[in-house]
Amino acid sequence: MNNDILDIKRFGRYFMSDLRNGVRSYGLNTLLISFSMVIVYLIVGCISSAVLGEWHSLGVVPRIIGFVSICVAVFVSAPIKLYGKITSKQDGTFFLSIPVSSFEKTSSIILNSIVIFPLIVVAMSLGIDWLLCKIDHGCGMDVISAISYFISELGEEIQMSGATFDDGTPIDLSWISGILNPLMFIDDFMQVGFYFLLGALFFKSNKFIKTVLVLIGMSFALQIITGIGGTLLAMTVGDVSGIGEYVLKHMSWLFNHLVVIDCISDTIFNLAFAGIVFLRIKTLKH
Amino acid sequence: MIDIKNLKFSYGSFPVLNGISTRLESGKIYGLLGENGVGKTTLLTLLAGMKKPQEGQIILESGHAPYERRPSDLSQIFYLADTVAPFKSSALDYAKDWGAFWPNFSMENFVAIMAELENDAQKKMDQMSLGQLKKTHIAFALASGCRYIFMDEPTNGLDIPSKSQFRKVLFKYIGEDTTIVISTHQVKDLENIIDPIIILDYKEVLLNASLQEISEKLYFDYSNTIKEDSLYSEMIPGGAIQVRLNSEGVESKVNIEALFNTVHNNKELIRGIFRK
Repeated sequence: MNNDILDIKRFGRYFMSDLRNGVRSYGLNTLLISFSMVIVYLIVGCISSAVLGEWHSLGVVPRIIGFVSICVAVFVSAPIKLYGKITSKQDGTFFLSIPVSSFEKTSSIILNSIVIFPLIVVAMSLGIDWLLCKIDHGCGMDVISAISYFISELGEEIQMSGATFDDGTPIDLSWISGILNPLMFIDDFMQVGFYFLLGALFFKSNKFIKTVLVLIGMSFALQIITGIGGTLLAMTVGDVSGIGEYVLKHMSWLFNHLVVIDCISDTIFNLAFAGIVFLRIKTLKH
Repeated sequence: MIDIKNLKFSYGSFPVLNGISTRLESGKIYGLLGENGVGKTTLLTLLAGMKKPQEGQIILESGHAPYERRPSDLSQIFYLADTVAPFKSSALDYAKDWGAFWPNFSMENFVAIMAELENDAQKKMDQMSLGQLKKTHIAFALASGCRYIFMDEPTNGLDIPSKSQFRKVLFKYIGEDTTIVISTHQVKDLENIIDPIIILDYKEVLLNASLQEISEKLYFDYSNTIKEDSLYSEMIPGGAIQVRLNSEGVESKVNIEALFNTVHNNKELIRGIFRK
């Protein structure tokens, strides 16, 4: 009997068709974004050769900045480019009429725009960077080695300084390497992807600009709310120094559990975003 | 069979469908006619589950509403919109990729219909002209093997030979129990195809009758002398056409354009004559 919510075989077939369609519409962009660092590397090298008469390789810091920019670019552009058309009548009507459940359509959208295509871009750009550093020794370390090196160096420096929290607790440095671990940023980047996926699915035009404006608006609103909340708390409680002391006292606990707290909060946010995407797909009309 | 009961839909404060009720029988090709803005496209999108009725119901044979968008129901519905998407793939790849989701989709029929419509299945869809793109989607719709096919202005953008090819493939490739609803302003393109005829008005379905029922109740007089009792008359090349009540029970060929104008000018009378 066919299941109207999830049928693994049907989902697999839909996901593959959706992926193939994505490769056709976003494949070239995927390659361009992945190779953007090599393009910049070649431009810098060629300009330095022409102007200074010798080849200058792109240093490790610009390449780390470039890599982060690539991550942002793919998480911002993939959802809009892959699924932004769903809000238009001519593409949206066909999308809605495909005999696949809203749950399966949502899962495929999230997998493709927030996992598969970003993963391809990240893997390709890191691979290209690694290859570049193998060929051109003037590059220095590749991005992954450089980030690992930076984390361990930072950890050692703080350890050597003998820093403690205000309550005298020595800083447990394991959280620093934990929180700076590149893997910890995956769910944060996914959140960026979700923001722009929601923008792609809710706005009919100027999806990027409108999403950015909403994010700016929300951050302003959050600041105003926390400001008003703080003021109201101060007016109600009177002396808020106790709260400050309480926070400082528990700061060490907070930092020492930062990795877990970050993981849990990001997972909750990402699940909530996935739920909103599902509701949007379920109630989309044309 | 699809039951439409007291269906209401409005855009903001502007009502489009105001409590319409009718039944769509299996195995018939309905022609959905109406003035601009009466809600023909809205009705088709509601039937296809693209929109949710604000009041009233549409009930499919499965007992579900189209808007529930259950895969088991969607696999029996195909909606061909008036504007169609140019995929970044060849027509053949598009059919291979997506056709598999409709259980009765026939790749063989798709290729055959594309050939009969003189459309190149290997050509990329984003490089096709509007007419070629429309023909690709028509081929997909007819090859889908769905029980319900809803087409919004399918002949728009088609050249003259393609219109007659469309009529041929429509008859050739649809199943016996397939219900087709075609919304169109180009009644001449589909004159010998659509039966029954649904004429939609702002508030209700003015007419839902087969050509047989229409010719039993209305007489389409092609003589040159205009009679006083005609409900509608118009000069046409080579003579005139007038529509009168068929009091003598004489059969005549229904002219859909004249029928539409007759219904439009005599709403109350027509409603009374065709009330079941």
